[in-house]
Amino acid sequence: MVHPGVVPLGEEKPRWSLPVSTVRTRGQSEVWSAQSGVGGGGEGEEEEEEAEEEGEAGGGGGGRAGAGDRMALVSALTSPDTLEALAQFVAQELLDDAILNVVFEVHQSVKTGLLVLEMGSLEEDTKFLQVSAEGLDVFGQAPVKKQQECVCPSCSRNLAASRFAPHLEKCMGMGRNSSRIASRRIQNSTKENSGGGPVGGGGAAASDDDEDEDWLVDRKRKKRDKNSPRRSKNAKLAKAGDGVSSSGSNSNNNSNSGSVESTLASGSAEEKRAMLKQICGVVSEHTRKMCTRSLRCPQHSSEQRQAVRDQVLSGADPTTTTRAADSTTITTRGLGGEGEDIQVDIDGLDEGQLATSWDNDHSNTTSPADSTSTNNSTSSLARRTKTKKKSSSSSKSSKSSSSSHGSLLD
Amino acid sequence: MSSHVHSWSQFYRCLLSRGGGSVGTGGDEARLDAHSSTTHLHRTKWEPSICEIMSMEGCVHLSEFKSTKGTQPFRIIYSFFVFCTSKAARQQKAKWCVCSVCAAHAPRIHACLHCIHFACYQGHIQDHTTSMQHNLVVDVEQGQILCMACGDYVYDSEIRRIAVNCKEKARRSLGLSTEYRAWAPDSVEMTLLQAHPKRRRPTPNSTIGLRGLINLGNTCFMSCIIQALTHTPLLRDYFLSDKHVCQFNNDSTRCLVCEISRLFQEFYSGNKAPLILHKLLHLIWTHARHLAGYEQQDAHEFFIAALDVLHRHCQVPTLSTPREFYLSVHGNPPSNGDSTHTCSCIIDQIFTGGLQSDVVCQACNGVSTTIDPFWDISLDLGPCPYGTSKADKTVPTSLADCLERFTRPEHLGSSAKIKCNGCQSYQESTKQLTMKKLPIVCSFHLKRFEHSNRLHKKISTFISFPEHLDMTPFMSNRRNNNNNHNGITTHPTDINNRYSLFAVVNHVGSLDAGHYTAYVRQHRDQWYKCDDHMITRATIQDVLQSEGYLLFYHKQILEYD
Repeated sequence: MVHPGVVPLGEEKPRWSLPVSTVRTRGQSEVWSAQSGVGGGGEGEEEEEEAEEEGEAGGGGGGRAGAGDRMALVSALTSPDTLEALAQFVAQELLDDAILNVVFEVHQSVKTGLLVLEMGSLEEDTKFLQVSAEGLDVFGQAPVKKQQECVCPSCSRNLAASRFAPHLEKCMGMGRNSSRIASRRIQNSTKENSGGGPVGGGGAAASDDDEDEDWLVDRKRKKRDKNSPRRSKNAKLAKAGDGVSSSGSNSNNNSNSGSVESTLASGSAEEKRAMLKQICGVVSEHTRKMCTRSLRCPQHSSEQRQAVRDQVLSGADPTTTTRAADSTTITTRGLGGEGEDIQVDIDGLDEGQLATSWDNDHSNTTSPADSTSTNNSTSSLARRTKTKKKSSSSSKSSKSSSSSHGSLLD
Repeated sequence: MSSHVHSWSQFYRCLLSRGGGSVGTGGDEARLDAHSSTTHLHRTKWEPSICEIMSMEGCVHLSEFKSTKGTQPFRIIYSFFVFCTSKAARQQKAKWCVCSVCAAHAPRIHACLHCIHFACYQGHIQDHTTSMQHNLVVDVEQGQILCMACGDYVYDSEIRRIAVNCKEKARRSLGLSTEYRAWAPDSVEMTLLQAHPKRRRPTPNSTIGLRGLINLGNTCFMSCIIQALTHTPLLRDYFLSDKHVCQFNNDSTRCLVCEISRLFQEFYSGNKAPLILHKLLHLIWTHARHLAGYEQQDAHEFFIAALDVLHRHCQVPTLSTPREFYLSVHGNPPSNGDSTHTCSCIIDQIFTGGLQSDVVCQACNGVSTTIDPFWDISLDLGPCPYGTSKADKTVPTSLADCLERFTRPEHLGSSAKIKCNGCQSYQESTKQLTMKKLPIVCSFHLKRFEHSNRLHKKISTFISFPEHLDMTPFMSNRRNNNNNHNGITTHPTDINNRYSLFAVVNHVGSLDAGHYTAYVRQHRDQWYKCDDHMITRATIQDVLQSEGYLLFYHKQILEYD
């Protein structure tokens, strides 16, 4: 209740520390002013002495000097005995004050019931007692590591806690291969999302997951067929072949695709901005693709990045300016089913909008990326032809198209 | 005067007419009324659920008095005779607050609320109340209301507000800052306290406040810093008293401060299972990109980055940059020479100190002084590479040695000439760093990892460090006076500069493969070794014998502003 160290005593401190000599001189001057007839009285509050010396106030019990006569007062104050007595008196007064303060505080809290409330009923502390035994920690637990799981805040996957840091590195698109991993990841997610269903997604994700295997808690599945999807949860749920498990992933996708799809379709400035917060985005002169490295990408200057941002946010697609007549050029309408009429290069679109979905997508179907293996993913062409169909032959299309998409991965 | 004046209002007018000075009551009273009406609302809300004794309602006699005479008498008594809000009021108090019977100023003068009558508690005020049937009196020192009919002091929230308000004004009129007030639950907290009557009191032998942290894959650098932070006494007090006001709507997925706040809750929850800091790692990586990546990290770097992110998340959203903040406070931009630190977030309050750097021109002896904020002090361990004197050659063996070396004047040499403002030319100079302002938590970083001349090595020399540290010898005022005497002479120490060790981070192993552990203090003198999820008891000897990489000291005495 009363904070230690700030007990009212602290508050009184300035008064305590008043050197006696100061008290005296100030006392004198006060008396002077009292004599000269100012509305009566010294400024009592701080130096109670003054008030006590105050003749008008009729003070003067105990060892206090007689009132009125200034000279008598001064001489009394100069005598060490009186001074000592006065100092004692003031000290006593202050101490009483301080104690009274605490007493009142406690009284109030008792009377208003606060004390009882604050005390409450004490929990028995036996269950929190420390254990001191050889080989055990203070909680009484042996150092045997129980496999702990946690959910990645970035991709919402369930994984072993002890492998979280390496996972997160890749999940956030950092590290040695981060750029291409991230781009692949982005790519996968759009394909599935823009298609309105996980066409080919199963295959793509499966191969991704394959490499991601060691992060998963369930290690037994390591030897599974390459094309079978392997997201930890779905895989466990669906023990059957590809068809079943991909439908498992379908349901998973569908639950998630709504938001991403709308993101893609509308592609508002807000979302574009969000995407550009994640990747470098500078369009390469050679490959004509957006750089998917992080914002700190050393290859491009911040001026270049700024230029791309200006372009994108003003509504133009940065890649179309350089590659208008490309065979793979399509409209967004064809892709998303609704929305803008701007001519967009498919690859540029891929990466750009995918980055957005990368940000938003927490579905299990996208792998947080992994090693450099290039076996993966449906091409944009394949996706286009199979839009909005849930195909069980996704793995085939994935294989057939992997070459057509290779250029993206370099 | 008191013979013909019978009410306090009359008395008050009387005082004013006698030139007692004006008492600013007008506007404040209006505000007070607004306040009291809101408290009424609150009270009616929680009153039914509160038991009989749980009342800030005063007593029937007080309510009766308030309904007939209002709160005006209280205001007058409080502002004149209890908490004098002006010099004139102080004069009036000195004049009137004496026992009308024994003419003494003590003990415990009470003022009758019904008539103008002052008397002491040694019988005279009692005499007055019985003879006059005046039940209510006020203690003129503390402002408590005594009801003679009930025979006890009574408390009323409305009156309390008036008293608090007057007290604040009184302090202001004396030039004092706002008074420290102990925590008191408001109505919401009151209901919470009632709803949850169980209280947990950590005893020295309980596990509350301790928690193991799972290693997420080479993240021991994070675990040990988090252990040090969660055992920082003042930071703990801040978070456990729920002081953080979030600028991200308490979204702990975005705000690191909220996440740390959540960690404190976890540490004190009594749960014994180790914690998984995956969200924290994700937050740090997103907000301090330079730290991101799965590799061995430097605990010191992480510490600084964590403080930086915390500091950024603490800031008031409208004043996003320190510069803006500075502008809002001072109106003009900070000059380069004097970078005053203006942030008042909890991180800066606890960890920021001021380092004074004096550059002395060798030609004209002109001194150029700058003061820079610091969060930690990095101390060199190896022999001084450029030094020539004997003192420079010796390798430090204790923290005091390191600090002595840190605050020693350093000759900048002929290759680093600095333009002197005094002689307007480039001159050789000496530079000295000293402590201008000490932080509440002083963190020392022993530079055990040496990266010089393409040679990377770890310095494992034993550096002794004390459990209690006195920083007085390294203060600016002290050190600068010593310059000519070469060395630290013994001075009376200032108790405000005394520190106690509360956490030590250790690094074991080599430069490229190592492990961090931490020793933390709990309950003043209990020490624990935190090795990821393993928390074991340790002794102060274990701690002081350890190698030491980061040392955290906490001030022993804190002052309130």
